[in-house]
Amino acid sequence: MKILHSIKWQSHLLLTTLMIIAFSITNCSKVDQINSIDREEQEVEIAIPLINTQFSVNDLINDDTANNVSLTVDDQDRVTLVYKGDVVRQDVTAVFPPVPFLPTPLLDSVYDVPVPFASDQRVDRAIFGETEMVFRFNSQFAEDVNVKLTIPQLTKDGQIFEKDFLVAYEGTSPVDFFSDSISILGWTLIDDDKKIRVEYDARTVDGERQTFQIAAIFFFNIAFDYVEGYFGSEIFDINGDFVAIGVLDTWRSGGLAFEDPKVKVLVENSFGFPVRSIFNTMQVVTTTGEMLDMESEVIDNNVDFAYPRLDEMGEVKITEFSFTKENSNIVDLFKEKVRRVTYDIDAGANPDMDETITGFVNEESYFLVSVDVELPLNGSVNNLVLQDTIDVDLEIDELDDANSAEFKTVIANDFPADITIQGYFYTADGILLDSLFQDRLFMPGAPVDATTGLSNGSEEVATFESFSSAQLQNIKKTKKMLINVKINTGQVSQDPLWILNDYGIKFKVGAKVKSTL
Amino acid sequence: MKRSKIISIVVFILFTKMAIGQNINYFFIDDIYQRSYFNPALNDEGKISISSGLGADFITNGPSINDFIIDGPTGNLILSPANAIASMNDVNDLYGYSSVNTFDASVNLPFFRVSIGHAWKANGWMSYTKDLANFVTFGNGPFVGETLNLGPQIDYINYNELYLGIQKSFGPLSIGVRAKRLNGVEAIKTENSTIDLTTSSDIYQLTLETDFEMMSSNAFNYTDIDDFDLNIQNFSFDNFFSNNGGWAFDLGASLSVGDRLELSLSVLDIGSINWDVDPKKYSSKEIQTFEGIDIANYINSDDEIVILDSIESLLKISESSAEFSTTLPTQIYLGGRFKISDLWTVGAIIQSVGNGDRRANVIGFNATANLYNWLSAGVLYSIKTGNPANFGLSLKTQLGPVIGFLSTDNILNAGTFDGKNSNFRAGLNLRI
Repeated sequence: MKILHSIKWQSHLLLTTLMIIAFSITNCSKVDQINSIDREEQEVEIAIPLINTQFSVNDLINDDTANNVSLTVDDQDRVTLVYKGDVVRQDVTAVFPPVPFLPTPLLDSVYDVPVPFASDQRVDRAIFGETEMVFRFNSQFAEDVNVKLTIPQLTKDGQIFEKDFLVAYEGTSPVDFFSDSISILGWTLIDDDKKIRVEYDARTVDGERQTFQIAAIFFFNIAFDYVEGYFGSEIFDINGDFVAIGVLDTWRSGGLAFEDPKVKVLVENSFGFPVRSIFNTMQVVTTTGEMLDMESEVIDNNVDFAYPRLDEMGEVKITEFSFTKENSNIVDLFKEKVRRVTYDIDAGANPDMDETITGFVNEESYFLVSVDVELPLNGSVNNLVLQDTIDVDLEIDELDDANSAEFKTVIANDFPADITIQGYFYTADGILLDSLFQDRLFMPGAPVDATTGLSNGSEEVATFESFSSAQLQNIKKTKKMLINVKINTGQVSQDPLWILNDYGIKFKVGAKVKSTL
Repeated sequence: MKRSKIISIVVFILFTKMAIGQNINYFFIDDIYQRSYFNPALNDEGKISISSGLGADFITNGPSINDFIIDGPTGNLILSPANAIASMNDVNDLYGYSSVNTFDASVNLPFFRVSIGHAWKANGWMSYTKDLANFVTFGNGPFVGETLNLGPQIDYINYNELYLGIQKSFGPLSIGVRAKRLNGVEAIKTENSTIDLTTSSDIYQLTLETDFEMMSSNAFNYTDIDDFDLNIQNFSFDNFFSNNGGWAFDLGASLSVGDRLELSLSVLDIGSINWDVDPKKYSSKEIQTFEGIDIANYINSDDEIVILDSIESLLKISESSAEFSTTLPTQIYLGGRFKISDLWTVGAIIQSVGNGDRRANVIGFNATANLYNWLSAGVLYSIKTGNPANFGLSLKTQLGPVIGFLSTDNILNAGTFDGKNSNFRAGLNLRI
C-alpha cells in the first residue's frame, strides 16, 4: 500500500496525539504498588441465639419411667408429682416354697412318707404342680420281679395312683432298678396327718410276695397348683424397698414446705386367707443421709388386707391406705430435704390364728404391694436453692479472635415465686473460670390473684451482659456449667401456693460476638 | 433516524441485563484473519492465512478493583472490602471472558475457502448481592432484625473449541459458515439462588430460607459449610475429544458495495454443551431455623450441648448426580465500514450477546486512520450495557506478510484498578 505524501503530516500528528492521550489516561495507576498491598483489619460481629427454652412444670418433670416419676394434673390444672416405688409381688411359692428334691426310703412294702408341711399348717387338699417322682427298687433276686405300686391318697379323676414295674434280672444280682420319671401334675393329695402312704406289691416268678432290701421314692420339684386348708401364722416377707424422690436431688439449701404430701400403699391380694400388715420400717431419708421415722396410727394399728373367700377364688381384693397429714407426721418429714422414702412391710397370715377359716392358695394367687409418694405442688418456698451441673463444650475456635461479646438474656417467669439464677463456668477439672452474670439474674415472680392464689402471668424482661476478650478466652475452656437457682415465694404471697401445669419460665439467651479478622 | 429511536436504542443497550462478548474494536482492522471471529464470511482475503491470538474481557457494574483499595498511613495500599461496599449496588454483576486462539488456518481452494482452528474459551458471569458482601465483611450483627439476601448467581463455562469453516464469495456477497466441536473443561451454573438469612431482633434467632440449585461439572465439591472446593482451571485440554461434548455453529454474510462500503451480519455460537463429567447438582429448598438450644432437653440428659453443630446444620444441601447442558451465549453482529479517504475509514457495529433475559448490547462507532503503510490506528466510541461512554483504541502494524495488532474497547483507566470495563485483544497473522 502506498502512502500519499499529502497526508503524511496528518499521520504524524494523529500518531503523536494518540500516544499522548494513551499515555495520559493510563499513567494514573497504582498497579506498580500491588505487590505491597495489605489487608484491612475488619471487625466482624456475629449474632447467634444460644439458649431458647421454656421450662414448664411438664418439661422439668415429665413422665419419666427411668426416674420413677410421673406428673398428674387435676381438673383445675394443679400439678401433683407421683413417685412410684418398685412393685413387690409374691406368689404361691411364698406360702409353699417348692422343694427341689426329696429322697425318701421305703423301709417296708407299706410305708408312710412324711409330707414337708409346717407343723401349724393343715392341708386338707393339695393338687400337685410340675412335680415328678422316680422309684428305686434294689432287687436281690436272681430272677425277674413284678412290682405294683399304689399311693391310695393320690387320686386323679377318681382313680388311685397305681404303677406296674418289671425289675428284670439280666444275669447279675442285685439289680438296681430306677423307674422313668413320672409326672404327678394335677394329681390330688388328700393329707392324712402330713403323711403319704406308699404301698408296693413285689412278686417273683413263682408268685411269692417279696420285699426289696432297698426301695425308695424320689420327689423332684414338689410344688402345688392348689392347696386348701389352714396355713398357720406364716409371715411373708414383702421385702423392704424405697421410693426415690429425684426432683429434690438438686436441693442444696433453703426451705420447702409441701401442704399435703402423701405416701400411698396399694395391696392386691388373691390369696384366700386373712393377712395383716406388719410395718418393720417406714422412714424418709434426707439428702444428708439422715433417716427419720414415719409416725402414724396406720403403723401402730396395722392394716388387714382384704382377701377372697373360698367361694371367691380367682378374685383379686384391693386394699389401699395412705400416710397423710391427718394420720401421720409426713408434713414435718417432708420439710426436710427428702431424697427417698424407705419401707419394709411384711404380711402376717392368719393373724388371729382362727383354724376354722379354711383358706386356699392356687397357682394364680399373689400379693402385690406398691408404694407411691404423692407430692401435690402446693406449698411455700423459702430461699430454696437448687443446683445442678450440665456438660457444655465451648471449645469454639472462632472465639480465638473474639474481641468482646454481649449476651442478651430475655426472661419471663410465670411462677408465683421470685427466682434468681447464676451460672458458673468450670473446667473439666472443676476449676471455676467465670460466672454467667455479673450479678445473679433476677426473675421477679408473677403477681398472684388474691382471690384464687394463682399467677397472673408475666412479661419478658431483657438484660445485657458484656464479656471482654480475656473473659471469652477463659470461658472457652468450659466443660461443665453449674446452674444455681434460688426460689422464694415469700415476696409474692405468705400463703401456700399451687403450681399449675401451664406455669413456666421462658429463658432465652443470644450473643453478639465481635472479632477482628 | 429519528431522535426517539436513537434514544430507545441507547436505553435498551444501557439497561438490559449484562452479558459479555468479545471486544468489538478489532472488527474495524483491515487485513487480519481475526475479523472472521465476528463473521465467518469476512474470511475472504489472501490465499493462505495462519494466525493466533488471545483476548480477555472484564466488566462489572459493581465496585472496581480500585474501590477495594485504600491508601494506608505509610503510603502503602490496603485491601478494604468495607470501602468497596459503599460503591456496590444491591446486586452486582461481574463478567469475565477470555480466549486463547492457539491457531487458525485458512486456505483458498478453487471453489471455496476452508478454515480450521482451535481455541480455548472461558466465559463467566457472577452476580453477588451487597447483602452478601456486608455479611462476609461485617457479619450479621449489624443487621439484626433484617433479612440478608446472600444467594450468589454464577454461570461459568470453560471449553475447547475445534472448528471447520467454509467461505464462498458470490460477486460482492460473501457467505461463511463454521461448525465447532466443543469439549467442556468445567462448568458451574446456578438455577435458583435464594439464600435469605434473617436474624431476629429478639435473641438473634436465625432463619435460613433457601431455594438454591447449582449444577457443576468438574469444578465444585461440597461436603459441608466448612469443607468445599471451588476448582477453576485456566487453559486446559481436559476432556478434549472425549467428554462434556457439544456443537455450535457460526453463520455470516457480508456485502461489499463498491470499493468503499462493506456491510456484515452474523450470528455466532448457536449451540450448547452437555456436561457429563462428574456432573453434580447441589440443591436446597427449605426453611431452617435455629432458635437456640432448648436446654430443657438436657436437664435429665447426659448429652453435651454443642452450639456450632446446630448452626452449621442450618444450611442443608443435598447432592445428586445429574447431567446438564448449557447454551452458549449467542452473539449477533451487525456492522459496516465506509472508506472516506485513503487516510480515514469509519464504521459502526451493533453487538448483542447472551441468552434469554440475560443479554448485553453494544453499539460502537469507529474511525480508523491508515497512518503509514506499516501502521494504522483506530479509535472507538461505544455504548455498552451499564457503561455509557467507552473509548477504545486499536493499532495494527505490518511487516511484510506478518501483521500484528492490539485492540481495546476502553482505554480509559487501562492499566489501573479503576476500570469497570476493560478488555483487550492481541493477534498475529501470516498472510500469503
